[in-house]
Amino acid sequence: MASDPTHHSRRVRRLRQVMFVSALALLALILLWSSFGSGAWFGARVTSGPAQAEMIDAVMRGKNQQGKPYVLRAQVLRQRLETTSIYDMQAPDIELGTRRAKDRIQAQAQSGVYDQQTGNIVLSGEVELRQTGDRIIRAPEVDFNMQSGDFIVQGPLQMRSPARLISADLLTSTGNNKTHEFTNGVITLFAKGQK
Amino acid sequence: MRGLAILLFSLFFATPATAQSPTRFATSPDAPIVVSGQTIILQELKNRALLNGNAKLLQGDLSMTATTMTIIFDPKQGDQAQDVFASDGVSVVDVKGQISHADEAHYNVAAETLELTGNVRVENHNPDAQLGTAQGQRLMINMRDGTSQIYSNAGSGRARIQLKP
Repeated sequence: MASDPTHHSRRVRRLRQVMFVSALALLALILLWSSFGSGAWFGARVTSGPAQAEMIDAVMRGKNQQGKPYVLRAQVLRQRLETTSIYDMQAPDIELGTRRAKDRIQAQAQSGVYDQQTGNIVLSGEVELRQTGDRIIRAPEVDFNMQSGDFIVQGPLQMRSPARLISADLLTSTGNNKTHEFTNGVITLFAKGQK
Repeated sequence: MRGLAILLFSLFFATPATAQSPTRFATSPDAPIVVSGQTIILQELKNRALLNGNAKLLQGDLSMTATTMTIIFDPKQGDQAQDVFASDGVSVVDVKGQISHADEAHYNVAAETLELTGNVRVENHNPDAQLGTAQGQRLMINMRDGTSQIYSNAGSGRARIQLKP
């Protein structure tokens, strides 16, 4: 039985269209993925005024100098137009490192200022910084660097873990060698079963 | 004379000399250990914390001060303290008025022992206590029941305890 040549060419045309649309979708996906990795902001709504641009439910994903993935979130993000690398954040939420990583850091605060050029974030107002191993740092202000993982905590601060509570006036912490230096510190060591 | 009123005993034992201290230290082994210092450097990769400048350890009725202290954490249990080492001008004070001085100290938290070494001198400032002073090279305090033993140097063969009349 001979096939209908017009029916065949119609099928080929449809296949070509599907391939073209698929290629476009794939290209869009690649572009979207690469922009996520490069540290661009995405938000639910963007408004811009004469002095600043504002984004609602802003999210930025990227990798730092050490190759650790990070996610920055803010309920409201405002870009200062006079210094475009600086963003003011409301309710910032930071994740550095994967969920399985042993040195993962999560931080939340009432507000923050992010300098995209240096990777530095100043978090303020009831800052809570969580590290792997059920360790929680609470302080009024934390100066956190996304690129290095280093942070400076202004006290009065508390670092709490299951068997230890450290209170101090100041904490300087380096991400690479996991060293924490406390000024005027007090460590309370709990025996098993104590809290 | 007051000086004569003090009875002096020198206790001789086989080398190294050991003397059972006739007094107990006030200890609270189940209380949390509170350690402070001008600077505390917590080194996670080495499982230790270094305390510099007016380092102080307080556990219930007993406290210890020194210029520097090092806390060693249990590598398996992370932040659980295993040992505390103190050096340079160590003083141990309990609420009963006993003050002990030594060059170094080692608090083995799991074994509940506090060992003072080097030029150990125990002074009792409690008027009701039997012990006046004790001297030796090593003092071992059982942190569970407060009992203690003082040892001399392996060569000198003598630990000295001075009792009140």
